[in-house]
Amino acid sequence: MNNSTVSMTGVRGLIATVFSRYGIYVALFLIGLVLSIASPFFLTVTNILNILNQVSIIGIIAVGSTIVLISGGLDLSAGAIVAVAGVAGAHFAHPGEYPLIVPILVGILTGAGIGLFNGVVVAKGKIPPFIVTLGTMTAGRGLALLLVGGMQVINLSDEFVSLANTRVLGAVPILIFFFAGICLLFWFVTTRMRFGRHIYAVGGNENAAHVSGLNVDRIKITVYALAGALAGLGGLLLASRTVVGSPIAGAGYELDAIAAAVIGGTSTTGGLGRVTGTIIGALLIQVISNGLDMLNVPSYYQQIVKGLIIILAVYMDMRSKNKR
Amino acid sequence: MKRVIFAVIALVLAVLPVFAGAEAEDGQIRVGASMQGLNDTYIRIVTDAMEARAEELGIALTILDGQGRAETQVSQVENLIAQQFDVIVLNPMSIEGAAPAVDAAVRADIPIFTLVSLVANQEKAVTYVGSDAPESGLIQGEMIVAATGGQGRVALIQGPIGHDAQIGRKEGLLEAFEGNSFEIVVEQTANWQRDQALELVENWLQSGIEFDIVAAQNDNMAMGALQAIENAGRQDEILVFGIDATEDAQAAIEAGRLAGTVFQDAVGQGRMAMDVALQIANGESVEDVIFIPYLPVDASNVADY
Repeated sequence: MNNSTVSMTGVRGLIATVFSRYGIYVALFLIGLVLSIASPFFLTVTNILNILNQVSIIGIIAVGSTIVLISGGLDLSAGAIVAVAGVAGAHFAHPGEYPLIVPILVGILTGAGIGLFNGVVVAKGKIPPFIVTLGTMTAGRGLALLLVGGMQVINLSDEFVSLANTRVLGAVPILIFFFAGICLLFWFVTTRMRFGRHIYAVGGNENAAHVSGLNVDRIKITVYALAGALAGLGGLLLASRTVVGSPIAGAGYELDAIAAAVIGGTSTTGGLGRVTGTIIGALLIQVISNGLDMLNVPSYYQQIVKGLIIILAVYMDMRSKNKR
Repeated sequence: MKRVIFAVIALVLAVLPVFAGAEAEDGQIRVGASMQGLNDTYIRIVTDAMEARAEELGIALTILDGQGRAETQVSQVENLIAQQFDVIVLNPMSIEGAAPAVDAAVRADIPIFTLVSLVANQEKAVTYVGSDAPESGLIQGEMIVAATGGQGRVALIQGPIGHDAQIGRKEGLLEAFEGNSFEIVVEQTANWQRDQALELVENWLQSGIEFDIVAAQNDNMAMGALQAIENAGRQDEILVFGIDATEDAQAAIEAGRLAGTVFQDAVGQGRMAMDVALQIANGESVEDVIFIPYLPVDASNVADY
């Protein structure tokens, strides 16, 4: 959209442009404003840190979902990976058995392995990602239960528990730094690296990307493996945060992660999306749930609000695309 | 593609017998059980106890995983009927949804009884083996009364709203609170999940709502709540109570972190189910309801469990 069209459609057009480009920021601001008025405890430093702490794990997973969506794919297996990586990592995190690096690597690599499997089957098998990752989601849930016989992995070492529960300078939850680091890394990858541009190219027009000489399969496989590794990291951190490796952890996380990406402006049809948008999308969901909890609103309303926001976000996304 | 399909079929056929369970020998009693979901730790313990007891009694037991869906359980029971099992055990996921399974068994004249949780048409089932859901809430409430002298501000963390145990445990808790001066200042579901309870209590601690007791309807949620409270450094002001007496909850009681929990005898329920199945198969009459009692667990007796 250029300046002449803005002047032609006038103020309404300008507002529409602002909303489709920055709507998510406006929405976050408005919801934050309402909640600050409704509860005097909402806009406090401790609660802001609390929200950032709570958003970190799902946010890390959502960054993975974002790059998969940008590449034209879809990953429904993230929640199952959280469970598998969580129990696998926790298994190696009993006190006095292995150094801390072992459960960390096991968790991340388990996730990356499942992601790699997703990528290979999607790219080489030419099976729709919805089907492939639905399959790994189902199988992954079973695998998590099988690994631990349906039980929870308890008795975790202090070092492992402090991984996600430490407070830097006694106040700032360490998870925020994990999340910030991942965001910075993937913001750099998607905006400053050639590989990042290739992800957009594959998602925007796969044939064109192929014709122009890109190794489309390898890009797709890498993207799924990275998303798997991020979900694995998320699962590991969740196990540390909740002090238990649970085979039923991460229920519904895949959809929350996709919702965060989509609310943040990532297109469900590939080629478009930003890590920064996903951060705001994830924050929006978390702020709503934090605020409604604090106001003691029954959780049914939270689900309804979240669902409506997802639909609204996709609607705005479609509108802004039709204009181009 | 054809080769792949054949490979998959071959793999499935090769693996299936491993899971098919014990083949019945001549004259052996065949019991089929449809469990609400084997991904649940509690149900898993019940199932393990059933298998152990069935082996001792010489029962050929087939366990089916209802995967948390009542409709799956209905078709599983239909399959058990078609295979003419001697006795069917139903551990229903939902009160209403699993009821047609009981109807189907009654029509086919195969004895069926419920385990751990109830169905809507319970009167058609031979019996119910399990515990009385309100009783665990009642015992939890009585522990809270004893620990606090009968007054305080309570934050209630519930199971999925509408779940049999959620309704029953809340009823029991309120019954125990009668005549005392408790106020439920805040209540919400955390769907039995630890991470949801953790987040919920973090938010409550920020909200300015003051409470001195957390009553969680299971230990998983109690442990999540406890952690949020400890992270906030409020453990000296707030007592946390759970239900189930899971391994880590017991450890937390020993360490003086968790104030109390309620022991539901999963092993006793699973073993009793097999004893009852044998009695029914032998034509003996059984009581309409067979309760396995709950027991309060706190620092004074945790070592016994």
